[in-house]
Amino acid sequence: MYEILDESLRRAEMNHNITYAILYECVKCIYTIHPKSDLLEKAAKCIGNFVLSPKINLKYLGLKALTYVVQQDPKLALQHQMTIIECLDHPDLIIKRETLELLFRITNDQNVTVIIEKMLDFLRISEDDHTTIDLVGKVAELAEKYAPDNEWFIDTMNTVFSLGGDLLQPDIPNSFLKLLSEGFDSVEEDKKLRLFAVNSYISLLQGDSSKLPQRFLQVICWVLGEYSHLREDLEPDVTVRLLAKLLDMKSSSSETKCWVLMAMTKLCPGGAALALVHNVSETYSSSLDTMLRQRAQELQILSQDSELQAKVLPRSASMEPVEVDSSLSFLDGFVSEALAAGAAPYKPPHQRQEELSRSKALNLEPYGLSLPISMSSCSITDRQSPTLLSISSGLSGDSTDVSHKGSSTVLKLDGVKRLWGRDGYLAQKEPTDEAPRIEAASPVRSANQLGDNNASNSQTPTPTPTPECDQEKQQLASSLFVGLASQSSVCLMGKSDPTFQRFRRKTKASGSSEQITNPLVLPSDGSDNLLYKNLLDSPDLDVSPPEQTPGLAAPNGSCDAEEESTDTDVKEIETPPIRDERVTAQASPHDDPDGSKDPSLTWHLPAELSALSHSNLTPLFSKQNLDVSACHVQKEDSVVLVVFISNCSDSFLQQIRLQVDSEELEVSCVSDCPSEELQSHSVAVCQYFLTVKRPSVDFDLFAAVSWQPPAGSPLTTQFSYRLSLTTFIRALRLSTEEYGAMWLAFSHDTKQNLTLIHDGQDPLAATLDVLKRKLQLHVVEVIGVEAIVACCLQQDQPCLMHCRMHAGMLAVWLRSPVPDLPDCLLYCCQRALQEL
Amino acid sequence: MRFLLLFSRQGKLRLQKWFVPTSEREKKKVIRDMIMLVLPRQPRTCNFLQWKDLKIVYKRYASLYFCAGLEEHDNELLALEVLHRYVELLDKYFGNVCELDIIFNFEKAYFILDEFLMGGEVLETSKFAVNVSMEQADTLQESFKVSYH
Repeated sequence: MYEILDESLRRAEMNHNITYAILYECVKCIYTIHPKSDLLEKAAKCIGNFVLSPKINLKYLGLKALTYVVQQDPKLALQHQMTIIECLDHPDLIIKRETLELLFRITNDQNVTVIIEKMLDFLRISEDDHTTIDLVGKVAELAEKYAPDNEWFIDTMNTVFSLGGDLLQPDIPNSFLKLLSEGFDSVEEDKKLRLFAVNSYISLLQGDSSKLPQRFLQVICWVLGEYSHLREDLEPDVTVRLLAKLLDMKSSSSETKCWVLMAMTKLCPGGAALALVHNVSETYSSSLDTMLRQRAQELQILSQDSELQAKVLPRSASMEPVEVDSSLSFLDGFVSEALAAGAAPYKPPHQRQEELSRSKALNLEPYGLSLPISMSSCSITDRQSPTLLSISSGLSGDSTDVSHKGSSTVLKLDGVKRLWGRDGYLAQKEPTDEAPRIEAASPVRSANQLGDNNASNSQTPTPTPTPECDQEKQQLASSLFVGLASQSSVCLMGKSDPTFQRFRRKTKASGSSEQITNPLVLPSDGSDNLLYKNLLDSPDLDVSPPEQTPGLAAPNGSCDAEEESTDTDVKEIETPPIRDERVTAQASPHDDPDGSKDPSLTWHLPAELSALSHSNLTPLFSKQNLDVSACHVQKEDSVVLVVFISNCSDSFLQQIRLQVDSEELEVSCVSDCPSEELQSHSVAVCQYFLTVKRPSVDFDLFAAVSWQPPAGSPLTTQFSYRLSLTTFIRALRLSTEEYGAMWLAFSHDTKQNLTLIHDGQDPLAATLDVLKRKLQLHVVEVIGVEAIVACCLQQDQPCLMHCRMHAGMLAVWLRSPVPDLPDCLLYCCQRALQEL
Repeated sequence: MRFLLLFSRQGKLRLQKWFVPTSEREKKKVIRDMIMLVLPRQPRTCNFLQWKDLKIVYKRYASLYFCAGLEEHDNELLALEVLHRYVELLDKYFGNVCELDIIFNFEKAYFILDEFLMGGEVLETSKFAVNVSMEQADTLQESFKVSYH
């Protein structure tokens, strides 16, 4: 490329317009591409020729090129400064303007005053609106950036305002006022600046103010209102009178008058010109313009009550920048209260319109994908309020629904139970019936549903492993819920598990799940009714759940406090380990001797662990002179395996080594067993932290202990220890909103029906109770026939569960970010319920 | 190029060509503005103007002003050349063209313009080619006339 440019530059020596055009383009090109020094030189020379040329067109082009170039190469401008100065005074306005543009580019601290002066001169003679606007903007920018001192700045801005008139772009006065209000770092400077501004405006007003443009007048009013108190010798009286003069001028627009009234209101305290103020406010109280009326009223009231005035218009308020909370987070409390009381959540205008139009007409659209353009262009504000979450949790239902709608092209989902409809949880509704019903009812119900769905969704979304949305699902969901949080659609986007996982999971799950799916496809029995019932019940139930949840929470809480309930819980699960057949050594628990040892061994638990509840001590094996038993302790966030190696012989044992491994658990040693020597009749305690790598229903730990009796060869024995998943489960305390948010984010889920415990009046509560006791789940909320439950496997692997009572069974839907957790947990739940 | 206008010293529009769709109102406004901008210009001043966001290039040939409205990236000198080339084409066709020729044969003027410029860009750079197509068009017209009569 360089050669071509070189060549072009060389050959374009003829005196023809075209060649000049080519040269100009070459020059521009050279300055755009990667610089090459000799090309740059040539280009600079070329520009020089242009500028110096007598032909005016070339001059113009030269100037333009210089403007373009000067940012990169200011020296060039320097070279031709004389020519530029000449051009400044050129009779041709175009050239002049172009020169000014060039000067604008090279403005800096030193030359700013001169340049601005030239610009203002030009402004005075310019008649073209566009030029004026443009130049005014430039002047304002320069003045702000490079103002050498306050007086000059104020003067310049005044000139700008009066010359710019009402053509000013609105941000110029705004930024000026902002500058005045925010000020610089030094308070002194601020004061001086403002004082000067005030002075100049007073003198302006005292002169002939009829020619001043409206914007300028507004700026004057504001400055006087805010800062005239800075000038001590100025009576507010005088200012008020001056302002009143403005009001009387015919040329003042009503907007200006509003500003004047506001300024007067600020100047009021101290009884300045009361009579005048009174008159003015009377006059404008009956004005036709509502803004004027309002201001006049304010003036009247605040002028009489100076205390109130001080509160409303504090003198120093303008010093702090106003912070605007655009998400209106201060209203969040109000909104959540209203939502809880059953108010309909916020519907943005386009959604309202859509629903209006939908409710009037029959929907004859086939259920295809419809992507309204508005969805992509609509943007929701940043509200993180509960409204958002309620809507977004309502959206979660749609994802499933969408999946089913889209399934015709993607998956064959025959016989798959659909629990979530477009408007929320639909228990046992036939997919085909659902759709028309939804269409018809949606516009009316969707508002309520959304509010309700918040409640219903927040109840544990129990197992439906919908490995989430395809693209189609997402699109349909977004098209159905236009105007809802873009965040929720993002959530949907995130779930991209391939659908085949669903089948995989189904086969993995026990055979019982197969049986269960059938009853799930029940004839549509008016789950609508259930939903409606929900609607009706929810206001009532809103009262009761809070009562229930504390009740439920209490036993739950006790779990966390690690009281006996965990013991009982754990005891039952302990039986499997004892039935373990993998213990190679003589694993038969020696009940009696061990039972007697049991209490003694527990004494050996390290102090911190003994405070916590622990499982039964499981004697693992006993051989010759060594007894090994273990127990596990459930701590708040971890499980500790404690292995007791007791030397029941009379001699000491050496070289005791213990190694514990597991496939699905991460075993980390807390305290190693003393490896050298074990005295007779003493106990060595080893602790291991267990964390779950991969969830499974039961975890097997394989351990090997080796020791050396005093006289003999080293012996090794292996044993195993089984832990259930339930030891690792902890209650997860969530609020309903958090639940809703998490529910959307998780992608692995599984659904099943469990047996209800039919004793007492409330089977749901009873079942939940059992589950809570045995599995340490936390019931987040119970609403009607649904309940949401949460738990976590260690700290960071939550699992959410949604239970719904239906037809004598408990339909549970578990969801979790961890792949196998829902299934395992489900199995544990089943086991827990069966073992009753 | 957005548009090309020809108007006389008295401000009468002789030819207008719009290369972008514009409403009637807008067209009228633009024409008015152009006339107001260009006519008062002194003889030795720059041929390039700035108007709104367009660059206006004008050239005076005898009593006719040729005025073109360019966009940001168009080269002004090039536009001057384009105008000049158009005048040359007219000259060649009409033989010593004057304003009257354009007034009375405006359809031919438009024809030549369309042969030369398309969509605001130069279509045919060869004078000869344009001439040939003009001759062909004329022959066609003649034969039509003949066959009619």
